[in-house]
Amino acid sequence: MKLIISTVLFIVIAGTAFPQEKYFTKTGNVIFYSRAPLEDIDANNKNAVSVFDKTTGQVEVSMLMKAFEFKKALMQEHFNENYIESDKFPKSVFKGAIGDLSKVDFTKDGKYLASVSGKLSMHGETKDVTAPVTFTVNNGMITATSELKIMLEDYKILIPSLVKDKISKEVRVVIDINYEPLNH
Amino acid sequence: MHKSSRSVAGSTMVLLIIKTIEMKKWEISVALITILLGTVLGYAWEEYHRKPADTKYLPEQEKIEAMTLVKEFTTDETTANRLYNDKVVSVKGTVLKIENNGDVRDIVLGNETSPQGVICEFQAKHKKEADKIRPGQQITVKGVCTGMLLDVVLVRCVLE
Repeated sequence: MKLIISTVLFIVIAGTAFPQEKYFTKTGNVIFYSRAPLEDIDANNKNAVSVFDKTTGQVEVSMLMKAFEFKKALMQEHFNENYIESDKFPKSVFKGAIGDLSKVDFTKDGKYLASVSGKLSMHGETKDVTAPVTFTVNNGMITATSELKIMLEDYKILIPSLVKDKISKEVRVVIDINYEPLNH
Repeated sequence: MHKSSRSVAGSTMVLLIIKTIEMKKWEISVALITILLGTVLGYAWEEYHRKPADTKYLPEQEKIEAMTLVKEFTTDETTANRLYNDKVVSVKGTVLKIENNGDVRDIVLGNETSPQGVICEFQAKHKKEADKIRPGQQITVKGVCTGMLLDVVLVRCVLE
């Protein structure tokens, strides 16, 4: 917790010195989808925190697992208690960097395709992930959209044997972030 | 002869009564099982399709000032998580900022001197009441606490 606050405060303070280089949000959207014969599951978290440095390409996204909202209460309870164990592992953090930053012209409006690589920590496990990311530049504002696939077993998320063949072992995660310059 | 025909009729009658009682038992059993099964299936169906409760109708479990809640989380996050997460918390504070985030509204309670505050996420069905809130206003919000990143985050919020 203190590390997250210190990191972000450092970035905020550093950002005020070079305001146009750093972008930030506290309202990032993270949606996950799981499609399977037994049931389709999707949940939305609209309070992910993210910082992005357009000079170095460094990016960080943090989210509270309990802030994922489901359409059905029972699914939300199972997600928190049986699968993700959010009392024990309340946060998920991605730290990485844009690999091909030169492809993105942040001074010119348009859509740019790049890729992001880094480490995703969730449920007490940390794994390397790489995913495509689309940057949309519009009038100085930056939007980043990315989609990655996660195998539940990589993060030691266990599916009860009774429903093992009926629940998807793979989860699709969509991240949609509207960044604001840090000096705003 | 007369005596034996009487005894046959009597035996037949006794058999019929036993059969009727047995039939009724069987019918009663079927009816009871049907009712029981129906109740169990009905409960399972209801439970499976249950939507997350509207906080408006949930009683508050904790009542606290916004900046006190922030202080509790920054001082000892583990204890604060145990005390407040998943609970319906009533939080009083000054509105610092209002953000439109798609179909939800984020009302930030806090003060200018602290980089941290309480983010109260109002969902679509309570968007109208959130739209009446203005920066600087003193309000009390009821929501479900989910923990802290930079700010303490409350979801499914309603105005009290």
